[in-house]
Amino acid sequence: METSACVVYALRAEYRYGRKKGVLKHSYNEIISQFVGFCKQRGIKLFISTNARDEASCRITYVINREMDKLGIRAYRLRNEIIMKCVRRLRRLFEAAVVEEVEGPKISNVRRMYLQNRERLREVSRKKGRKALLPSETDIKILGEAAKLAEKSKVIMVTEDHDFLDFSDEIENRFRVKVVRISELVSMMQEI
Amino acid sequence: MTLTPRGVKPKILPRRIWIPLLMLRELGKVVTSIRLQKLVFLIQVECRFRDEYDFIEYHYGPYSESLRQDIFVASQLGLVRTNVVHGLEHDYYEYELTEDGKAFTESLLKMVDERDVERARAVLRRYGNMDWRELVEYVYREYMKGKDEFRWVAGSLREVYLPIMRSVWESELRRNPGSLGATQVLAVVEYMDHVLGVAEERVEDSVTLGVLASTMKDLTFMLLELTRRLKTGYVTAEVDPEVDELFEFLQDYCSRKGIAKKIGELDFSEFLDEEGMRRLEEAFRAMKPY
Repeated sequence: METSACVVYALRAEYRYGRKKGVLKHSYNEIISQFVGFCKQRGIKLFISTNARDEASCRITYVINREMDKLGIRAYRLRNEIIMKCVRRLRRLFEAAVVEEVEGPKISNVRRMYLQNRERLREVSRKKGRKALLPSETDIKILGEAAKLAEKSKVIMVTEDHDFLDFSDEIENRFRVKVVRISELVSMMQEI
Repeated sequence: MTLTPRGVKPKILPRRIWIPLLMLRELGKVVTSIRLQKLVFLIQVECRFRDEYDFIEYHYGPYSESLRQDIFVASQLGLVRTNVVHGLEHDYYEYELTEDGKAFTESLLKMVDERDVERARAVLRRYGNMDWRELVEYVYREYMKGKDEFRWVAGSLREVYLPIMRSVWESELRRNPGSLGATQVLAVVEYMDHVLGVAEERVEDSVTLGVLASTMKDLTFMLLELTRRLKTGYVTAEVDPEVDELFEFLQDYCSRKGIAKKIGELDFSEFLDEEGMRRLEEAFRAMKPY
């Protein structure tokens, strides 16, 4: 699972509003939760690199703070409550998955693949509002790790990040890593 | 949680009794109920133990009726010997463990976290030799705050320290929106500000005001230290565990006293109107995870 998929899994927090109770959740949260349960049931190895794990905890805080800022909600107690509920969920995901460091990620191959597709990369950077052309070092490393793992076993990378989704054909052809978005997991689970 | 030692019916002695029993084991004999009450109060407050005895202002400072009852029950069960000593000026109580009480205490302490026992022993080493007058004086000085004195402490926190920390950590969060540590510090600052306001308005009990003032002063110093370290390049991945522990104590205390809800039990309607809540739900559904 790539960082963005881990974040979507974690984006779920129960809340109380007066007498009402509700749940804040990402629209893909249930799909990815089902997928995690599905993998566990079928004995499919759910792999999260240490790199993706460290990035995810930070990203959770980042995306929630960013949205709260956009909404003009300053309340830090509220932010902290929501973030901590999501962080705890993320920790449960790490317990359910295999979290390991991948030796010798194919970083330079990944960088080369991106640089051979500059035009599309510019388009993705513009879409994500990023100044740099290349994806972050962490994202390059995560893909490099998936590429390394694919040398020995079949790897499906679950992500919502356009740095991977928009290059899915190149990634599959070059590294034998199938890039799948969360919404595609429903049909994939049926196929399996 | 309740205890079931040999020969004792279940649900008679609550788990918290380990504190006075440890004290009796360490000090041998405790003279006067005032000294017993003050020492248990100091252990509980200075070790930041939660969910134990509820102290209120009474004659000679903090007093817990549940502690008096626990000692009474322990005496009835033959664990604690309570003697009435006829003094020159007035009668007073003297407490010590019986042989059964010693054995019970040993088995009971095996169920308590060793670090908690060690912290309690450290407090006893600090105050165990004080007589009841010294103890009362110390407790009054440190933990009994009249409304005016509390207002003075609250004023300096709200007007000087909390705004400084809010400003520094908000700029840290702007610089690094992924910092869980910065978000947590700002939540602590906001919580303290809220508690100070409620306590100034509603709390009259001087023990409660004293515990609040002392805890918030300690918490503020810890946060100031974090703020100082931030300026020297300290990375705030998560909040410091010591701050976290003290903050947990404060939240628990305020929750039990009905002053403020713990973070984790907040009612969102105190912060957002229905339209705001709807927008938050919508933002969550469509949140970009990168």
